[in-house]
Amino acid sequence: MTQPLVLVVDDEPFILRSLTFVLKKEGFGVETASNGLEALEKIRRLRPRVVFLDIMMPRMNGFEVCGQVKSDPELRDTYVVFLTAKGQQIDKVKGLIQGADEYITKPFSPRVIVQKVREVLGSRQPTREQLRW
Amino acid sequence: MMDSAAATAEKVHVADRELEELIGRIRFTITVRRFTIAAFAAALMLLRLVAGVTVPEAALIGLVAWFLFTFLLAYWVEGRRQAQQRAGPWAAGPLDQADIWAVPTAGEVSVPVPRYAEQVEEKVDPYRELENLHVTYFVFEMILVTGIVHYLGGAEWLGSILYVFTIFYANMFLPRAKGMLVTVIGSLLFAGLGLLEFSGAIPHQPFFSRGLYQNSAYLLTVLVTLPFGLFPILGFSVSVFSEALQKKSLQMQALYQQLQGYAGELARHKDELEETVANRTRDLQAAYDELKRAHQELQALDELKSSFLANVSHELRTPLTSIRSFSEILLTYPDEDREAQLEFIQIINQESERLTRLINDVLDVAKIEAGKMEWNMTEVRLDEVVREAARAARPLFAEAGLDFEVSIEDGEYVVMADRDRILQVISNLLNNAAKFTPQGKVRLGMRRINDTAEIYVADTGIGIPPESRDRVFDKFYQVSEENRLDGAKTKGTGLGLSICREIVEHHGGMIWVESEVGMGSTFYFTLRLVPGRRAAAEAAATRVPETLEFGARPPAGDGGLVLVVDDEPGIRRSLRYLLEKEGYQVIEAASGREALELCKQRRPDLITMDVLMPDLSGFNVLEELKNRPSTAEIPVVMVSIVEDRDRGEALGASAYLTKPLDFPELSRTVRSLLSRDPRRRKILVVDDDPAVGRSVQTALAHEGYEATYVSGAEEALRAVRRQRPDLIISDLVMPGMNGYELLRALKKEPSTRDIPVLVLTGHPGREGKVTALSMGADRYLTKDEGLAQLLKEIRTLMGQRGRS
Repeated sequence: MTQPLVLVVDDEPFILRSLTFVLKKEGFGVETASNGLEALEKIRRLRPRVVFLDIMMPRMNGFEVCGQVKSDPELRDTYVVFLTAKGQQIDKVKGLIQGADEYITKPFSPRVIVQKVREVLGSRQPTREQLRW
Repeated sequence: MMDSAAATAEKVHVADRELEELIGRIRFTITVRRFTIAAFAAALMLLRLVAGVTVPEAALIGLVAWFLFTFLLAYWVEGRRQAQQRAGPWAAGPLDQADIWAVPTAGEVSVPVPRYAEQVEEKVDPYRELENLHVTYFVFEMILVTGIVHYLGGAEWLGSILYVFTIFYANMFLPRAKGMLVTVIGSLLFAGLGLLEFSGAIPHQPFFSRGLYQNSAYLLTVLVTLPFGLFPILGFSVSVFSEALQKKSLQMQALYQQLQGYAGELARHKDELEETVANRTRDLQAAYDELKRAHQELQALDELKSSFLANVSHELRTPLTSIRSFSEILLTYPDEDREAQLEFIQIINQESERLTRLINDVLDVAKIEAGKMEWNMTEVRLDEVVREAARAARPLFAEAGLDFEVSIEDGEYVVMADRDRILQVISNLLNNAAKFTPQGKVRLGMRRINDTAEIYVADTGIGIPPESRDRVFDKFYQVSEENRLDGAKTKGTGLGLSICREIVEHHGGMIWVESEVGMGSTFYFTLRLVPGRRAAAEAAATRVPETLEFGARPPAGDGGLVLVVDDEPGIRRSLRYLLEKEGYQVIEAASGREALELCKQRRPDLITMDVLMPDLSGFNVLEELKNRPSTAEIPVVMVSIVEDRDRGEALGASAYLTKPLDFPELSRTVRSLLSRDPRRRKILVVDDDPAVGRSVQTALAHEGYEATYVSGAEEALRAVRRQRPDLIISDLVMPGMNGYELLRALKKEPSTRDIPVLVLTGHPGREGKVTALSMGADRYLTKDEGLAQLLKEIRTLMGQRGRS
């Protein structure tokens, strides 16, 4: 059995870099996408279990990606977590966010991301790093 | 006006009704008469035929009866008329006003006047109608009389005369149609009678066949009766009506004219009202439109602000996320290899710079909004600034894979400007160019156009759509996603260009953009050049030695002792680390009091001072230090998040830096303050004669001093407050504030008390010398003592006060 896959979608390369680093360290398979279209394509092809999704992205924003995923019977079970910049914006888009499973506001700690992934995928034997977090 | 118009209308209405009544009555009388005449004629014929009454008898009876009847009728009518006049001229009964004259109430714009005017128009000439009636009446009677006379008397010729007269009369005075009718009827009657007589159906009794006597009585009766009886009575009875009617008619006409006047006035008034209403409506509409526009503008602004907030929030959180993530990563995985750690630290560093830039932008906008931006205007060599901006931006373009070209036309580019702000504008434009240019090249250039310098940044980027071109300099505005050719997400705060515009406009310049979508954009801005300042600018340029650039390492260990004052241990730690790296000895103080204590024990060569500290503010400490003779000479660098350069410098700070600290700048500042060549000390020359002042200034500059010239004492005080000189050379006799007053002011102020003052006067006198020296002047020289003597005295003074 392959590693459970996590997809991180953000147009900020440093955020991709940090999350990839941490999730890989924690023993998860990680894929990245830097825009909405790429994300949708990778979700269809790679079937990740968890998707971390930025909202403000070029080509296709996070809401649209989430909407497409949640309306597709085959992809519906994908766990979608929005990465949002909390602000006024959040009130405006609450309705849209409801389609997703959860949202985490920036600036987040990588620890929270790891915990979330672990929660969703069901805890396996704790790793060394897991104990440290 | 309304009231009198209403009254007039009412009068007209009453007169109108009376007139109608009169006309009706006349019609009635005429009808009655017609019937009575016919009845009399029939009765007479019957009398004659049946009772055998002779013709003259019958005629006499008929005429007398007729006369009586007519007279009685006239009498009755006259009686009625008089009775009516006694009852009052307009006692024709109550008026139904509402029917024709709805009294207009205020605000109601119903206009009854035209309605009424039309009614009046229909009866435009009642007198004429009456005349017609009168004539018709007369003609009918004449026809009847003719017939009767003709038949009873058999008088053909008289009948013929009457007939002719009637026809003539009718055709003269009646309208054509009525005249014709009368002619036809009269002719038929006349011819019918003749025919009847001729055919023997009625007995023929020729006038002359009865003999002259018999007939002469009849003739006489007819002749007498007609002029004296019939016509006068007729005339009288009709004239009664006629007179009344005429009067009424005149009255009516007068009233009507009056009414027409009112109607005109009313119409005018109505037009005025309508115009007023239209104007008001227009004004109201305009005001409404204005409001609507303002509202829309506000809404747009509000939306811009919302999106700005969302953007700022996003822009703040993004770098913060990276900083937080990578610092946590570094802490969590300390065993990670050095290369990865370095990469993460670089990211943290880069992202914190991004955060700083953003915060600075937001603060700049806030400051500009509040009018609190501080401007440090000096003479600046613009070509230097452009080169510096280019140098700083080069790595950015290299990284983005863009070609970068700089072209500066030869020439003098000296402007009065805030150097850092102009640098900010150019950097901002270059950053934008890099951001919006996927490939190609960016050119930065400067050229001279008359007395202005034009700086441009041209890129081969995505360009700006025409509808956005005017707005890119607006606050918060960003070319929206839909309008952007590459469809990329809009990033940044949308403040950069608005700040650029504020800065350029503050300098009296202009900023604009030329662009073509898909081809690229060129941003231009202009600054006014200071004419004929070549020498000064070059001197200024040489004053900043290249060795002070960041990166040149000072000789280690001999940098001197630096006191770092800050309540934040993290900042103390970083400053200590950096300054020690630069080769200085560092001591720390965590509060203002501690700093003052430390200064008593060890005399530092330089102090860096925080402003916001819990016990004593940095400004208070600075003031205290400058008040103590032992510490007054120590240069103090203020390091603060509070931008109050003026206050810092007024209190005697040597430099003012803002957090987050730009380390190269700090390093440069500290170095320049500590390695100051005594011969490059600052001297302020005060003289009201520019020839003297300038020549002294030039001489001092030749000697390597940094000399500034001002032409008056007030200006001198301002200059001293701005930058503390190491020596002041002052004239005594000056317009306005003189040299003595300047001395007094300087000696009163603790921060300026110990600046040495050399009095250089053109009016030697023992008294002046004593006064000046007693007031605290350090030397007293006369202008004719010569330049060599002056320089010698300056060297002596500087030597005395120099830092050991």
